[in-house]
Amino acid sequence: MKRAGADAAPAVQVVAIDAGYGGRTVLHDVSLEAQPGELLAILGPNGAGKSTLLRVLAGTLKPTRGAVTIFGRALERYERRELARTVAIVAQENLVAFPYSVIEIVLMGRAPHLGSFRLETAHDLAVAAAALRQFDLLELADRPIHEVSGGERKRVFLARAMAQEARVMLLDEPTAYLDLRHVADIFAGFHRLCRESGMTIIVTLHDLNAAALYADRVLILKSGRCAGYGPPAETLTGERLSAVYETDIQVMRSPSGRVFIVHSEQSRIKQ
Amino acid sequence: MNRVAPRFESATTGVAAPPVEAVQFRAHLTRTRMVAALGGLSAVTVIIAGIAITCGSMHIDLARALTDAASPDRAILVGVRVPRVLIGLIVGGILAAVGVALQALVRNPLAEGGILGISGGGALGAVAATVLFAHVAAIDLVVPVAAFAASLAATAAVYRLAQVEGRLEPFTLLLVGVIFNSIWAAAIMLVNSVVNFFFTHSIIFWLMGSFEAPTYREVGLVAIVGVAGFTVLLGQAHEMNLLSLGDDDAHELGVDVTFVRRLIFVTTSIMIGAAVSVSGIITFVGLIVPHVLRSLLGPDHRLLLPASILGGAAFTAAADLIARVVIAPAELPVGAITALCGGPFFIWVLRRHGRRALAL
Repeated sequence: MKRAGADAAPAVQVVAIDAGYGGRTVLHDVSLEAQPGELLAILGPNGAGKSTLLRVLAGTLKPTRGAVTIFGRALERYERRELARTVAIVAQENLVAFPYSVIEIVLMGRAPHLGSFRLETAHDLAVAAAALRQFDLLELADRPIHEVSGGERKRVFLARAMAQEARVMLLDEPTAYLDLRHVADIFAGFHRLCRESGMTIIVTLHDLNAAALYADRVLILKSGRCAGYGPPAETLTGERLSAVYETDIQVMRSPSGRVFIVHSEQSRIKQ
Repeated sequence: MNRVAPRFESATTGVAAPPVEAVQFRAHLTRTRMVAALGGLSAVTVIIAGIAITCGSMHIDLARALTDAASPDRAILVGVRVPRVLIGLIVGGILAAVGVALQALVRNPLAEGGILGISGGGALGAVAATVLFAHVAAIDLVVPVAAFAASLAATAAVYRLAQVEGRLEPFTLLLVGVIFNSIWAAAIMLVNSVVNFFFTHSIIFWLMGSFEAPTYREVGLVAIVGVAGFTVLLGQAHEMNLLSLGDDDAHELGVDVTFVRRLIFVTTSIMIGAAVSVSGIITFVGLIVPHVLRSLLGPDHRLLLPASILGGAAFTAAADLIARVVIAPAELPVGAITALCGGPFFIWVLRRHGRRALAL
């Protein structure tokens, strides 16, 4: 596997795509670019097209216009399993139909590295063990997935994506079910993955403060169109966010430069 | 970043090769577990097959049958017992393998060829072919082909009708199966009432499911289809695991979902068509065997599928043995035995797990 930095091309590049379902266009003229080692957050209200954009990046949904390239190569020119070794995805909902154990789910992330009739090797198990440790799941490894909590299940699927050893991770609302400590843990882990391993992470988020704190770049969507794109400090302005979310949002800065985003309608009620 | 959480280990991340560690997990598939489970099940299958060949409504002297080629014991053994036990083993393996594959395909542990009405569709095809092409010389090839075509049509129809807003709804799927079964049974009875009573026995045979008097030609046909089908399905065992996570996740892990779905559809339809054409509708084998084995061995299809083939063979051969001896010298249709075991079992599974069994 090539180390990041060796590639001149951006990890993910989207140029002017339209995409939708059965004639209904959800995304209009959306572009973005994520370099190796970057964490890009996609923000926007419900129904803005965040998940649709991730589906396009995953290759699950074909755009009707425009182009998606991964490491300089068109998405559709990747062989299926090769793409699975390059891009890992964690969906918003994580369904499991049969009582697999946690370790079995994480080992499924090794599928694109595995031959058809082969069992996982010691190496696959070691990769899975490292992913389980990363997400604080080692004690749960042998438990059936249906017996772990919603937050634990989310971490199991993040560990599965980790075990895929991809260079790009696409995460749809990864922190929705997590408590505060695990949100902080996971973002710190993402941050380290980006910095130390050159991983590119593209994540949809509702939590604007997390985006301000951890993202290198943000893309704001409203009704399927780009409503802002750039570094969070410049892009996340009170005026823009208030317009996008159609509610009163204020952005404050601490003396140290940290950005706090406050939903001021709520604070008004409290006063 | 000063908010680094202590839980994260540094250095080993997904992209860099992690060190090989001595972490032991129990709940995943290992070669040892596969060998032990499949070895054990093979032994059980061989023992049951041996008992099924030795016992029956007529007592035979095995030593005499093996040594004296002209003895009636030999005639019964070779002409009746062996083909009957063989067909029971193969059909049982087919029914259980198809059950596992359909359950993976629709992500529903209660799916099964009989319950979903696929076997019933196949039986209607077989009955129609028997009546319409009674005078065609190649009738013993026409019937299985008709059974396969009808099974495929039934599979496609059940699948299409059970989709609610593009998603396969588990309870709708079972309801559609129940309704289809009633329609097929009614259609078969309709055919029965309008045709010559000469056909009545074979029509009842298809409705009830029986291994009565198979020929070696039939054994050969169903064996070829069975082995080919097992090979195809075993090749998709890991894909079946990934399909358990949903179509999108399977796709993103490198599975060609559309291709695998079609392959499993067509393969299981051919297998059910072959099984139905030699033995009629035998329900619940494809439900009971995978369910029991899944709770014993875990859900990994790389073990569950071959284990179910062996388990289905053993279970069906045993059920047929009971069907032959319990009211000897008369005999019960084997389909009645499996349904009498399977019906209560189905209800028990449904009550015990409720929606959780269908965790979707």
